[in-house]
Amino acid sequence: MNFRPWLAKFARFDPAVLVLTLSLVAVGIVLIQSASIPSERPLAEIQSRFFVYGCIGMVVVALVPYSRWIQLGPAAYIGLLLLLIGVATVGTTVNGSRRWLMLGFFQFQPSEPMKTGLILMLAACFKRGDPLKRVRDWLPLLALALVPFFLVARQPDLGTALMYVPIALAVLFVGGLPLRAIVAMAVTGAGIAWAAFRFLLHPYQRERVISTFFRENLADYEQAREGFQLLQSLRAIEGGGVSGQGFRLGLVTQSGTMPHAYNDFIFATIAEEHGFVGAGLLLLGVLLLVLACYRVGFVCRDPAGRIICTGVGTLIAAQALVNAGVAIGMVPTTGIALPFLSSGGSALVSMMMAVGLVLSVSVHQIIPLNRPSVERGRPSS
Amino acid sequence: MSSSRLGILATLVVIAFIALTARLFHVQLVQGDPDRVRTDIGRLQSEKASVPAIRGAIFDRDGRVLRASRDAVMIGVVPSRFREHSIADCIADLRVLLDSYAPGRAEGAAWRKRCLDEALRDPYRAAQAVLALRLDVLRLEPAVSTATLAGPMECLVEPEGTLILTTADGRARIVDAATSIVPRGRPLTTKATRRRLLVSPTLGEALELTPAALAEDLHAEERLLDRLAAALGLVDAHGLRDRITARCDAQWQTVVGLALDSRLNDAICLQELGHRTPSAKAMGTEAYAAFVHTAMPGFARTAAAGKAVAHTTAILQGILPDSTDDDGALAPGVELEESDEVSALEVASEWKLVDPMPAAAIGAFCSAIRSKSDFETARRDAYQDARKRQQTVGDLRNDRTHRIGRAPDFGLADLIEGPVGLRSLGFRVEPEFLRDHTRAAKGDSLMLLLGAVTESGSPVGRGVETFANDMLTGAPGSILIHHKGSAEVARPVSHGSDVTLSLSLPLQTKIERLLPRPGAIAVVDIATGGILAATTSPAPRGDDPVDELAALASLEGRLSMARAAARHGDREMRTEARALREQILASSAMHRAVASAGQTPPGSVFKVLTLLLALERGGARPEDVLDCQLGPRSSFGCHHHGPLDLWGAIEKSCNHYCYEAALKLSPTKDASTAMLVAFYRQMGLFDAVPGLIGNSEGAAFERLLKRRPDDPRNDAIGQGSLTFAPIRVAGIAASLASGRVVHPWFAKTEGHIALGKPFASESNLVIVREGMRRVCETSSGTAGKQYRSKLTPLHVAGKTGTAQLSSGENPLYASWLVGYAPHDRPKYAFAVMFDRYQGDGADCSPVAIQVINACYDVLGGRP
Repeated sequence: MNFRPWLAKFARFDPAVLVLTLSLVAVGIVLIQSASIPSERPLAEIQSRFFVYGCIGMVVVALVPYSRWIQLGPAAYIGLLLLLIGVATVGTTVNGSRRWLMLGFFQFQPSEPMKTGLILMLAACFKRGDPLKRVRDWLPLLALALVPFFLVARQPDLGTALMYVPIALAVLFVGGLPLRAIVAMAVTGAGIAWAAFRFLLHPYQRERVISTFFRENLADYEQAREGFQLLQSLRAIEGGGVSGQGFRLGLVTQSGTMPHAYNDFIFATIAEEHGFVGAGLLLLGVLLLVLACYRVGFVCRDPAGRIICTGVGTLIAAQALVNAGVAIGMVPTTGIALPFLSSGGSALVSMMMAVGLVLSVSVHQIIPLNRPSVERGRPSS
Repeated sequence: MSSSRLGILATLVVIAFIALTARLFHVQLVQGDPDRVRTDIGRLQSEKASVPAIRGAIFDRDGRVLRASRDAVMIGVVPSRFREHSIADCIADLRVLLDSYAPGRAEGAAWRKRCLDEALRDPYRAAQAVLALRLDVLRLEPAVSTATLAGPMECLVEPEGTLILTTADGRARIVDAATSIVPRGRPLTTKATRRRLLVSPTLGEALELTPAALAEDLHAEERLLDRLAAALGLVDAHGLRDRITARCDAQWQTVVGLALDSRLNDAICLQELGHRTPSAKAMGTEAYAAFVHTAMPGFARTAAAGKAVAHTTAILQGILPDSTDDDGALAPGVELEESDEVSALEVASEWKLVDPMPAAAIGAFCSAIRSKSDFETARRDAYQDARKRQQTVGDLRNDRTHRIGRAPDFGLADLIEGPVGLRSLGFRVEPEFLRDHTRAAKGDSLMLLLGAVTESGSPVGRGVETFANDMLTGAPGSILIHHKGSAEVARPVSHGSDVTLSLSLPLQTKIERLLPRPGAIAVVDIATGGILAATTSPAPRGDDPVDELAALASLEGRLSMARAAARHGDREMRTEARALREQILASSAMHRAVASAGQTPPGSVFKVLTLLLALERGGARPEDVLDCQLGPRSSFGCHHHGPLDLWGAIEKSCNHYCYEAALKLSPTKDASTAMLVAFYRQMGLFDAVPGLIGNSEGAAFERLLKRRPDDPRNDAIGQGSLTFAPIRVAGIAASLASGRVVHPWFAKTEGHIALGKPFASESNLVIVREGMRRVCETSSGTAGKQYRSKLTPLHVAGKTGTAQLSSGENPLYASWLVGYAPHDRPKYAFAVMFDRYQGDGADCSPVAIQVINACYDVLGGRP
């Protein structure tokens, strides 16, 4: 068998995307090791295992032309939609939330791969690169995001559901959404958010909002009750200083008093143990990865490829901003993981496969100048 | 699709990340405080839990359990950490625990649901119940809550069960029955209420406390604020006071400031009185008392205050002289006796003055002392109430666990730790042990011998629980529970030691109800000196001995104070002491066989000792005959016994014979008396009875005799000023039987010698014993006259006694029969005493017969 074409493809992996992704995952494994409780499951080991699966998935996805994935996009989207409906009917309830499907011996959370499915579906819709001048051009695309949004929000998993929105908005924006539509969406969105806060949110969700944005007006006991995670996160961050307290020496993290220190609040762990320098470098790394994804999309002539890169980059950026924002107290607690760093096998594999899509775009779209046999502007096979 | 839009998107993302980083910078570097974080985490990281030390059990001589501890759960709350998710749930859970109701999980859930439903139907009542519960468990008057909620109030219930109280004008809003007060400006609208509720910034405004009203009574204001703060669960009562203080006029503020600042107290003293440190000697007693009463709550909290006030007590009672010598020395001619200082400090100790105490209690105390005759229990209760409140508020202020109560069923820990999760709500739940007082049957005098233990673990009463408290009490340990679930021992627990008594439970049970009238029975094992049984009549009435014993202890304390004053010639106190003694004697919590208040003169029982001493001294011979012609109307009379030898004197209980024997002991009366007293001392009559009687009584005897020496003739016949408890007199009988000094004991202590040295020659003892045998087994013996037929088969040797307690038309006597059995191989010594009786000692014989029979039946040795 001739491996040369495959090796040539490997050589065309975008180095920035690849290196940054692998680096972030590696850092994440180290941080999970620090933040996890030794007597409980060996999360770092589990994360390492899923890292391997993720690498395999990422490479497989990357080596397959993204056009093939786009062809599968609608099927994947509909399939995942059906799974989300399945979750709503026969899903497994854990801690009052129904988010998982039991598939034999393991639990599967359809809302995570749905993010990638949505990106592929949107990419499929943008294949021809038609402009979005009219409402009927962009509204169906928005609806593609809103359907899974409502299904996931009902679980309830509002944090994950909200991630579909920036993906869709970014894609629409890059796809040419008119300015007036953007303004209309912003106003409508604000109104919907207010109404949702007043009438639709569960009490615990409302209290999370209050405990984030109106903390000063709460009594100590109320702050402690509803915003305990945030309190602890802030304590951890405040205690980090410039260079942090040291690996595995974070007071809050090691005390075990910060819930979910290894996933939802891993950013606080980083900030506590590695200080502003460590947290800043981490944010920089994530930003560079996002920009690298955008750059791949920038040079990609194919609209669908650009959409993929936009979607994946925005997904990474949105999750990172929300997760870090929660830890710092800028955003209400949502349960969104920090991409590549938080503990969570299926989320890691999903995210790496999403990066694999970007790598696929970089492999199959970027045409080296010294290969005149390949026409520019056309997707390579 | 333009590339520029992607560029714009990338720019927006970069801006977002920059904003995030800026916020991180602010949180981490600008407002970050690693030290504060360290402190906070230290508090959260681990929780110290105490491991209670099990109080030692008490066994009888054969290992039967008399007193033990059982599992319980202590429930407390640290107010600053208290989190109430649902008031109704908390009420229900607390009621379940404190009412000793131990339902299964399903029943508990139904109870909680019912309470929640009631709260939703009538939230105002529920809110009242919450506050009442809080006040009740904090032991504060419910009147405070009524005042707080005076006027119309509305109570709103949010769907989750949160209760919100608001006054009618909306000025005060108390959330969740006041774990906090929400500040002004935060409108609250809920689906359930749809109202705007404005809130008041300070409790003072809401309650309209005016400076004038507050300035009228500084202490009352402080108490009111403290109560309100406690009732409302506010930790920082000082903050409230400061806010209200800021609104008051300057004069009142000055008073508050001065009262609270002990350093200023010293400055005032120097400025106004010319002395830096106030003292009774420096200022004069009255001025000092007034000063303490009005101006020095700060000073009152210092340790020196305890001693100073004790000193004042002694001066005011006349125990210590009121001297104002410049150099502080006592006036010439006045000797400060150690006993007086001891008395003053005993008084201070009884009133717990050696601890810092609240200002209000000082005022009450000083008023009581000044009036001298005012020993109302209410004063002491007021003082103790003030102390409790002080401690309660102190607990609240200092973030200490405040005990709510105890649930006696340790199995309820499941409920606490289970789905209800009381611990997560801020309750502290700790295992404890409750003393089980139920093993002694209701109405048994055994209860008094054992004493009792309060819920807080303090012994009360004169029983074993008090005397052996050091042995019985262990030292609690503590464990550090880390948040991750692991725990480590911070301090190992040391459980209390068990105590084995000399008591025989079967014998005690058998003789428990033999006394037909007020009196006592004591039985001593001659071989070991152990007290086998001791009963009293009347016996305790209630199920719970704690209250009865505490009341008796209070009376005894006041009697001690009154006697101390009476000794110095205070006639009022003498009358008071008599009245108090009557109350004590009437108390069913007094064990007449043991208690000092129940001591009576031994009467003719001690003629045996007198004659024995006379034999030992050579002043008498058994064959010496005296013709007794003294009649009862003579001073130092007798009963015309006619010619008697020594045996006859014992047999017929001849006073005249004993008078002569006593006078012959020494050339002078005082010396004779001293000799008799020394003999008593040698016989161990002034010694402690481990487990029941302390050492202080012996010292009291000595003091008494020193002040007022008896005529030896009175002592000779047991009618001197010395009084003894039946336990001791039974010990004398045991000594006479064995020939060695028997020191009775109830709970063995290290160093106690039960069987001492011989105290008389065997030949003389044989003489005396023969006399005692004749008392019971001859027809002319004082006991044998009527009961010879029943006493003889039991081989009892003894001596009757009839000590006069009062004179007049119907004089009262303490009637005794003391002896041992079997007289040929003595095993048991006994003392039966009828108190305030109008008959003689022979009447004790039927009871004594039953006692001896019980001894033979239970413990064997029947001849």
